[in-house]
Amino acid sequence: MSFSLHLDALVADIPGLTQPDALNLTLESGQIWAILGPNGAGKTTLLHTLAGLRPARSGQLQLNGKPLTRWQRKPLAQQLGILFQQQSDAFATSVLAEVLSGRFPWLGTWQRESQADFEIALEALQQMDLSALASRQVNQLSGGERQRLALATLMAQAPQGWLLDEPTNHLDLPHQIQLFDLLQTRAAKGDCIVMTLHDINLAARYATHVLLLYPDGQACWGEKHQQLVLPALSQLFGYPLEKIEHQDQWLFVPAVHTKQHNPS
Amino acid sequence: MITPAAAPRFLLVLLFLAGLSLLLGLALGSQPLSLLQVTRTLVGQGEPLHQLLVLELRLPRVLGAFAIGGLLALAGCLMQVLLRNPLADPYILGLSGGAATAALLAMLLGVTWITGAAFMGALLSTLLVFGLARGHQGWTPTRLLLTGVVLAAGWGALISFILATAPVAGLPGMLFWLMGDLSRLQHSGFLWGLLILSVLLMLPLGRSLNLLSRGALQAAALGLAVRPLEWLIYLLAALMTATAVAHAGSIGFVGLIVPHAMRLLIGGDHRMVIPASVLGGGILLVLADTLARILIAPQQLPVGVITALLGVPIFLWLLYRSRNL
Repeated sequence: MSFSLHLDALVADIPGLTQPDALNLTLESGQIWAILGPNGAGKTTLLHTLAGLRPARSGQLQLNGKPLTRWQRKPLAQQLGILFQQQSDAFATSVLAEVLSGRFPWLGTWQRESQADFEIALEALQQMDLSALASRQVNQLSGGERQRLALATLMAQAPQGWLLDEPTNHLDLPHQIQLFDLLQTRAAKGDCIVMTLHDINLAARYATHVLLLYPDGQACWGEKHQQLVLPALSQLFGYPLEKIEHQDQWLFVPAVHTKQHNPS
Repeated sequence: MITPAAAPRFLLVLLFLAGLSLLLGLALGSQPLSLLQVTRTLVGQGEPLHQLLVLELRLPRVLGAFAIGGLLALAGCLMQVLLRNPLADPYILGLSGGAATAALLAMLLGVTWITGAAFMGALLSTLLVFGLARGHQGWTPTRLLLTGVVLAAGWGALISFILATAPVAGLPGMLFWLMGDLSRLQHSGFLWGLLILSVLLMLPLGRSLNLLSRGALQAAALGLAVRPLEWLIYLLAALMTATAVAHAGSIGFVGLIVPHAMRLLIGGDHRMVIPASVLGGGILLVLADTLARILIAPQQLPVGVITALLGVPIFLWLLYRSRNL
């Protein structure tokens, strides 16, 4: 089964922007998209719009050829999953219960979680190194553990389209790399990964495609190598960048200041 | 905490305790009977006096108390999920205030249909909150909560006004009503019908409630149709609360404490929390009402005083013991 999410002249309802560019592109199986842009450019709003959680200002979304608005919630959640930037935990719940909630779209009203569902949930916990914490309460987790739990829940949901809002938040370095390796494996198996990132170098290393959202509402998109170029990125963040080549990899770093900053 | 696997056994224990509390409620009173006498009377073999005492005086009241306790606990549980706020109770949106204002007005004007007046007051308050909480983008839990709390304060002022201006002779009745009073319970058939219907409606939605309690956005992303469910639990909780308040006044603490106590005991899975809350609420109110009848017999205490006196220490002890919050 292949996955496609087509953006047809889509304008996300980004607060404060009168006329953002319309987006015309297709997110497909096997692709890893990185959405880059400064704070407030509308990355999260766009991601929520793609997930069908927010109405677009104009334009259309088509998931596997059918308008997104015509999908029912449950079948939609089988196809499309989203990792939020923040998790809310008003009530105490256990790690295992939380990750099992990822199976919700796959269960009928009267169905209980089957052995298979438990196995999927436990496997997701294991992939995120959380097996030892399965019986812990969610509010006792550290920030990084909480983030990995949210990722594990998304894995248990097992969608084909993954929308990830800053997935590296709170993650230490080994877990960041572990996550991206995992996402690459998912993409190789036919999933489509879309994520907002602040780290250009992770985008350069792992993404296949890039969408740049400028603060004034402009947008550019395409294959990574066409988009990750110095002038565009410097303009994107409003800050001069430098490119370093290292073992066939491009590394982007903020340019060293030529002017002294501290007036003392 | 009881492990999830042991939760069904915990429900059985609660069921047993529920039966026991009902029997105790039937046995105890100004004239105590033994459990054996109660059982004999129930199967139709007791003395005529006992028949009168148990079947006609105590049974309707005990059954009604159980149903009202269950209704309040379930309504509280649903309100907590709806508002994603552990401090919510059935009255938080001003429903009891509306009911009380209407009931007191009815008493003041000498109208006898107090139950009906209270029910209408509760519904009016529900509609007011819901109408006012809808902003430009529809209601959110915070908006709903603020609207309800402010409206409740308004009702509170009206209640004080009525109490201050009411003739002294009418005051004890009004105060009794305000603190919760089960002495007017006659027929509990409707209460039980509503309780059973609500439980049957909510049980299959247990997993959905679990999801909703984690936040509307997260729930929607996992495939839950959030708005219809929120409407359903709001209307159902309002209906249950309005019915309970109309029949027994605003009995406090059951709706706040029981669902929490059950969450502390068996975890946050609403497939267990819902039946456990209904049983727990019923047990608490039957025991509280029994105490209210016998503590200073032949006089009776308002049952709301006892639910608080019983509920507060039990809850504090559970909270102190628990490491989950």
